[in-house]
Amino acid sequence: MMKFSCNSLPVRLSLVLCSALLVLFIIGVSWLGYIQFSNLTRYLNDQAMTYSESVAFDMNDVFVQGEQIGQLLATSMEITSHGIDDLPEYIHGIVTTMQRTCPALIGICIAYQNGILVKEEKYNAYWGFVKDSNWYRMVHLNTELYDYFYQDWYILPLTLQKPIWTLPYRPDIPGVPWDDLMFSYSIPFYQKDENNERQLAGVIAINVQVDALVKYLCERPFSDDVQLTKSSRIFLMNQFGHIVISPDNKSMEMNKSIFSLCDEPLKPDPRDREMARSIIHGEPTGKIALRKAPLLDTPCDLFYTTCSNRWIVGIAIPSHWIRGTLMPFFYEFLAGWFFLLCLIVFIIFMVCRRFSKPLVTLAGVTEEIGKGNFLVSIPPIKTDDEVGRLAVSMHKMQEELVDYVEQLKKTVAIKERAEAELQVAKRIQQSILPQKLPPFPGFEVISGSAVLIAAKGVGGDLYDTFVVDDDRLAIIIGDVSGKGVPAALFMAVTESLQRCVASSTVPVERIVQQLNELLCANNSSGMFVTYWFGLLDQRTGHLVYTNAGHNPPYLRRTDGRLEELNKQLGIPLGISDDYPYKSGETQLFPKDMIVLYTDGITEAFNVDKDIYGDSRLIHVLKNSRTKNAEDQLQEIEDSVFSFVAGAEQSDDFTLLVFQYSP
Amino acid sequence: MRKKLHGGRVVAITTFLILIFSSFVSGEESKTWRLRMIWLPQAEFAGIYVALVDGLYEKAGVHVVVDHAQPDEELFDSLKKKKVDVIVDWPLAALEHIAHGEKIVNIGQITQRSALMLIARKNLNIQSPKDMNGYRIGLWPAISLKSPYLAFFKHYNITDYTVLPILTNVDLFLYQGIDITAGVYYDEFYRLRASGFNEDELSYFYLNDTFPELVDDGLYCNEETWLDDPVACQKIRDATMEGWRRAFENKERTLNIVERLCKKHGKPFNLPHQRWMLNVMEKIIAPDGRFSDGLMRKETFKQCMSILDLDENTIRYEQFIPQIKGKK
Repeated sequence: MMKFSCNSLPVRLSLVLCSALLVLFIIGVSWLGYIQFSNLTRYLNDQAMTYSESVAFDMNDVFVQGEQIGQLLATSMEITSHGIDDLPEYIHGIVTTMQRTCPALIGICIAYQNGILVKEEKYNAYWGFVKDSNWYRMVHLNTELYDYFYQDWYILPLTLQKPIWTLPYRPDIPGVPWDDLMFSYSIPFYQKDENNERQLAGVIAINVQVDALVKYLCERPFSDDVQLTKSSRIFLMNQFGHIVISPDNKSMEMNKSIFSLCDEPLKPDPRDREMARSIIHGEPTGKIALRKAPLLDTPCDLFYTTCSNRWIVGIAIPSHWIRGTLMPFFYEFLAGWFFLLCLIVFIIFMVCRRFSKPLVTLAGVTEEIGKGNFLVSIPPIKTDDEVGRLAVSMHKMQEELVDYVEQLKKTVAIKERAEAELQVAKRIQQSILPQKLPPFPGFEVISGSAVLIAAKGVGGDLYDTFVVDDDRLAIIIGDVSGKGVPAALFMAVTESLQRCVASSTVPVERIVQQLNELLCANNSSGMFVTYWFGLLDQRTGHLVYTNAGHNPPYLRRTDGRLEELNKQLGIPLGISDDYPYKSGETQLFPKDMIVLYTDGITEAFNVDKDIYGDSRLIHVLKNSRTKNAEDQLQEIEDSVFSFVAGAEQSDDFTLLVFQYSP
Repeated sequence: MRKKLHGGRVVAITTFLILIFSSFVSGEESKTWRLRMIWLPQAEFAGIYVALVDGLYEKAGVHVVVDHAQPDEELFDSLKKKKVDVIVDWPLAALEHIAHGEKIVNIGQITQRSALMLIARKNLNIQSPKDMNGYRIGLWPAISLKSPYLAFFKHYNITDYTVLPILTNVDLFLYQGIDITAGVYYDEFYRLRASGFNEDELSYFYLNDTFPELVDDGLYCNEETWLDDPVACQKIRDATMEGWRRAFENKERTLNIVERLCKKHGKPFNLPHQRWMLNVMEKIIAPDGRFSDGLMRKETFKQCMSILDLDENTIRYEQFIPQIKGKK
């Protein structure tokens, strides 16, 4: 049974993948939602726009027919003169025909100017109208009880001398059973007077019943697949923005205008008025947004289309309607995607769990191996994929690990033994070097001090002092090439041989030469040693020396002067068996000191890889105020160690100081 | 002096007794005062409606009924024919009628300023009244409504113009059947605004800019009516002014009253229009927030006489604006 925690691989992998998937999901849903929302918004806007256009189209049918009938009638009235006898019948005939063609056109009124139809009669108008197809009424308006001279439908076209579409009105004629709202296409007509002059005779009004037009506004399906919200409003207004018909909104009564509606809130939004003006002065069709104008109870979008008579069909739809219509689609869309996301997350988790199970097992095995249990059993994983290869590799690794550990144990044992042997060799090498420096018996005038620190367990530096005869003391320092055991062995050989060849009767250069010949004779490994050999006469202070490629020692005079004992420099020993070494000599005065050293001093490095160098050594010697060899040695040693400051020692370090004090 | 005082007291007591007696005799036939407005129901008369609704006339002891004139009705003719007892009309028309021999008095001056104006399209470039020559001007048919404008034209020597009749709307102006229309700031100006005109698209001239003392609505009755019952006339004036005070105190209530009245008379009610009208009425009835006592100022009377070129000796201020003796 696998245990799952927040840190388990399946959980973490699932979380990472799900997070990435969620981000992609959000981006995808937002993008797709935006595209869908935009498309649907455009679609719904188009639907609303098409709706207003089709309503305007139907309206145009009424308007065009009304205008055509009015114009024909005006022309006819000018050509044919009618009297009070035939005019009612004439109107009846036209109304009946007109009704059949366009049921919304319900009446005709022919109103004459004062005294035109009958002299001395101020009012003379005939109004024929129908209420339904079976009911016709003719009214003769010939009294001041209905003073049509002050009615808009009469006075406006007469004054303007051009036809107009009036706003809705009720005739309010005493005794006439008519209380419906209607509006008219009013056109002035002309007749010839007695002098055959064309005179303005009156006005013809083609009446349109408002209720009959309502069906054009309301009884049309909005769209095949989208239902228009009930809170939307459709209305008709004239070219000045005055509401003509608003079938389903009492707040938009006929005396109001789109502009007065904009003014209606206590704090109107001036942008509404500018939007409304854009309808009147702008494009014939379009859409505007009204924020506060109470066409509806909420901010709305107004889609409008201008009719043939410049009246405007408007449909006000709540601004939130499109959003409200689209939200169910959006929720379905979101829910679908969310379900898909959950499914994908579940699948990812199961897949991660399935694939990570062997890894978890192998992780446990690795943990056991890490604890040292190399023989823990690795479960068989028989797949060819990376996990299978990992299991095989772990098997192999387990076997190799066991072998390696066994090998390591052996190697460690060998190394420990070698270390122990090296310690023994070190002790042997140290025993070869002089344990004590002068005063030798009878050589009290020469005092000395020495130090040798090998870089490894054993080293290749060597030094020695021994008495050659009653007066002379041999002083030797050398440095075998290389480090470690080979150098130590070569150093031991050199130490052994030099005592054999050293003699009071043989010149210094000859001693060195003989030593060289002996070392060259059996030097199959090609090793060599730098070597300085000196003989100091305690009685005279005379020093004879030979230098075989070694760092030249310094002679520090009591007055502070420094001299290099470097005359007759030869090549290191062990290289060429017939090399003719030569000797140099100098005179020591009381309190003079000889300082001998190997390159472990001058080539000591600090942590910054700076080299100590000859210059620092010379500086120490020149500025030294020490009075004896031991202090001088200590001063140089302190200088070197303070310079290297803990850096790892790279070479053997040997320093000898002798003082001549007769 | 004492005799005079004594005599005066006797007269007063006698008058009081006569009044008591007459009230007993005619108590059941208390007079109904017919008050007719110059125009259709609207917030222009809101103070009178409020006075009616609040029973201010009844409380003052006068029974008032109101109705409204048609746009072509000559209200002073109706007054002369005693079809009505009191009318709301304008002073120039009243003075003209008096100059023609009629006996009319102003029993209360409601507005202290005038909202009368002439409005033209900006694109006609009419920058001053003198530029109005040669244009078609729309005026209301009633003489009393025309008279201030005719005086205005006379003042500026505008003679070359055509008058066309306008009615209860601004349609003739909208259809460009006229170039200039008469109007008032609280009505026609708003109607143009409600037809899509912005103020900067119109040139307009207040008659008050030419005639600073000109006023609009006042209460008028026949001199005979005044003489019959000056106290009642004064009560009508006071109740009317109180009605206006209350109308402005609570404008939303006032607009509700106007709306109810419009519906009662079958007239459309347009809230923003009526709100605009009520606000303008407040500015001309109580300029700077100060109500008058309902009496026309002498300066106003003089200017009206001057506008009409009437000699002050023909009509005296006290004759036009009579007051109960002993009262200022």
